[in-house]
Amino acid sequence: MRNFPLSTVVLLLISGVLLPLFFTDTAKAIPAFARKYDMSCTSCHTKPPRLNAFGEAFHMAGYQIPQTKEGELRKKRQIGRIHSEKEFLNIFAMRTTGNILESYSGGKPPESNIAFPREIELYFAGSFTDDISYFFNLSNESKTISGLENGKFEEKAEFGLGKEFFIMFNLAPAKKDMPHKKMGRPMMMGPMIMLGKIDPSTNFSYSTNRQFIIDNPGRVDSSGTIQRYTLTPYAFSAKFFGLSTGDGMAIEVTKSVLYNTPGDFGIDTHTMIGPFMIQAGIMQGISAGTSDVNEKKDPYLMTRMNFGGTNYFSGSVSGLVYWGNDTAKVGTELIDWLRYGFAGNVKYKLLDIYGAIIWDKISGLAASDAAQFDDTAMGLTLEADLLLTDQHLVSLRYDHMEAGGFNIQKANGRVLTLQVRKYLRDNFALFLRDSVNVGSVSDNPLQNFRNLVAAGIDFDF
Amino acid sequence: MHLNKMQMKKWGLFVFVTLLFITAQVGSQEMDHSKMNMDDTSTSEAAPDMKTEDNAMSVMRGKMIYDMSCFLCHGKNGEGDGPASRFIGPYSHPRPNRFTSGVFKFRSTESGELPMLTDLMRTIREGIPGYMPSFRNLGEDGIKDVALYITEAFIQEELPTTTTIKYAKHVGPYTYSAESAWRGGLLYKIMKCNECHGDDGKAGRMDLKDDRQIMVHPIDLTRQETFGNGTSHEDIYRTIMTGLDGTPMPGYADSFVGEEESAWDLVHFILSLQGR
Ligand code: HEC
Ligand code: HEC
Repeated sequence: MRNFPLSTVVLLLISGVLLPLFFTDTAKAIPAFARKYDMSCTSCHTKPPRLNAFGEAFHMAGYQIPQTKEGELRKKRQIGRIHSEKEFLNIFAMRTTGNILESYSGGKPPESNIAFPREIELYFAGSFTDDISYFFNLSNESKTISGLENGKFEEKAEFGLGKEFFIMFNLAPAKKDMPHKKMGRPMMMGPMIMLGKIDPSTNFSYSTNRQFIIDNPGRVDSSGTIQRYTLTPYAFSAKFFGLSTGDGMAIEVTKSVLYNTPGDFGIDTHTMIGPFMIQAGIMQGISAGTSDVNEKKDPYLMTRMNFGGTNYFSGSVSGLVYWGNDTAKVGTELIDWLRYGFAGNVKYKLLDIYGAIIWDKISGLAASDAAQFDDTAMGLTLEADLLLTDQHLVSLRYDHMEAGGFNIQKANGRVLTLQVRKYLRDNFALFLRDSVNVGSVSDNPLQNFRNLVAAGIDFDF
Repeated sequence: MHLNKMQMKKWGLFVFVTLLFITAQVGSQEMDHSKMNMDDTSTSEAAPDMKTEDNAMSVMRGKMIYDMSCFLCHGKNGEGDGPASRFIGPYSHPRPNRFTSGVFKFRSTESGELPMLTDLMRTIREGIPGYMPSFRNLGEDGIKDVALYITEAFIQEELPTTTTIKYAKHVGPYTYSAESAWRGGLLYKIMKCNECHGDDGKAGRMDLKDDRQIMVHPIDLTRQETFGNGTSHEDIYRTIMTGLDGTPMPGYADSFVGEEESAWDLVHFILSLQGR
């Protein structure tokens, strides 16, 4: 904290004092599903975007209340003034989040920025019929890091169909077709099929897209050399230095990939049977789009078990195996990438603890690279969130990466982050965050800071 | 591992079909298991007169619905301690109902009594705005099944099938009119509703607690979308007569004995506050 510039402190204070004044009087807004079902956000979320046990069940059931069939949109109850709302609002949601201020110290160069929240996402989600639901996400992310050829990167705004867009089919036979006395149905949900640009990890005990501690933007210099990697949950990240995608674009070491991608093309199926879930699917590969260069697909399998249900307690454990089939490149050689790991989650009253440990192993390296390339890597992310009061959420996260990749490039990362969110409304939060590099500080883009302070907003409508 | 395209396709299909098959198998085993459980704990002993085959089946189906959905909020044992329950009312009323306590908010029976089966079914069908989704898509059969399950497994007493509360007719001078609403306005003050709900129906007392010692705010009477017990004329009449047990909102059936029609005046006053 020693190098913390005065200007940033002043801005922090100003934003802390002024912003609440602007927003405390806006009308209470509730996002799409909450509007549709007449529920408060906290019926499904600890606080958005993190799901509580009911939210997880709703999500697994294909955006439906477990045990009921959709139709709510069409047969929606008309209660009071709410029915005058446009039905459009029942399928539409928006999220704006990002740092407004950020300040790095301890690395080179120290840096402070004031920014407009980097990420704006629009969601459209609902169901066409009882058995077919959809999810579309349109997003604008300013200054994200994307890979170029020859290990170079650029910072650019990304706009378009965002992280995810998919259609979900529920293959379970409709209840009305079942003989009324047949008992087989209720304990089972699905199979559900998701098709499109998907985040398979939405069903994992620790899902990629639901972060209270949002990713902290990285930095690229004018020559296309990366100076600081985006700070993400390390367990999910690529972890290998010197990788590129099938079509030769550099992959950021901290980019969430494979099973833990925030969204890539693939087909996913999941089925719940009592407390168990089996998920299997096939992905195109990292950023492969709709036309994978090598035409090989990456299969994966995940199993999950839920437990708890009394005493304000619940939890789950999941295990994962993913086979990246010729999915990335080292130099000019396509490599295979095995990823496996576990995730767990326990929730007790207002405390939510979750984590994932993921191992990666690369095979099929060119003989010339094999000697200088560490083909194994490991990442661990552990987080605890506590809803301290109605308005305050405290989060603590630890990220650990034992990186792989080219020996001369690679470095390990260890980061501890503490964040406090203040909710002015259920769906509007200010946050203040401090990430400390508890490992070594160096010029390596993974280690190029000692301390990072950021403040920003998270607004869901 | 360098399969060609055709091999890959076959292999993928194989994995997929196998998985579906395994899933289906495990599914049917799981079912047998839960069936066994039901036989073990033959809950129907609690209410001997319900011991018919049909009822047992109904309760069994109800348990399945409950264990997939309701328990997330109400808890596996009906204690209101489901994993999601704390997030619904972290620091204020309401939280998912503790069925085992025998205290029910939404009844058509006298304050202090158990609800009727139809009351439970109404709550499940309509849901509770803000806090519990509507389960009308379970269908009337499913709704009844799960209500029976709650009764047998958690309430463990026979529910009343009639109520002593008189549901007066909505006729003559007691149909909706400006005069009726005006009389209701007087009653509102005479009966001291304003002490909790405020003169304008909006402002509420801030120092109230429910029977779990959680803070509870009197509902803003001008905003019908926050009413948990329904918003139709009949619903509001019922709320006033029965009260909401477990909360400070008293039942007023005793105050209206012999002149139940006047309660409609109060209903109309509340409707007029909402511009209806
Ligand atoms: C998302 C959480 C949630 C789910 C799921 C849920 N409930 Fe509820 N339920 C609540 C809450 C919260 C209350 C209390 C609301 C209040 O007191 O205003 C409640 C109240 C009730 C009541 C009324 C109790 C009374 O005081 O009169 C009944 C009956 C009930 N639930 C049955 C069910 C059944 C049956 C299911 C499953 C089909 C279910 N609930 C699923 C949250 C839930
Ligand atoms: C001792 C305080 C108190 C008094 C007196 C009182 N109320 Fe209430 N009332 C409450 C509280 C508290 C609630 C909210 C309970 C809850 O959130 O479930 C409530 C809720 C209500 C509701 C909404 C029910 C629903 O569907 O959710 C109505 C209507 C209502 N009161 C009408 C009245 C009328 C009419 C009177 C006078 C005859 C009255 N109240 C007197 C405390 C009071």
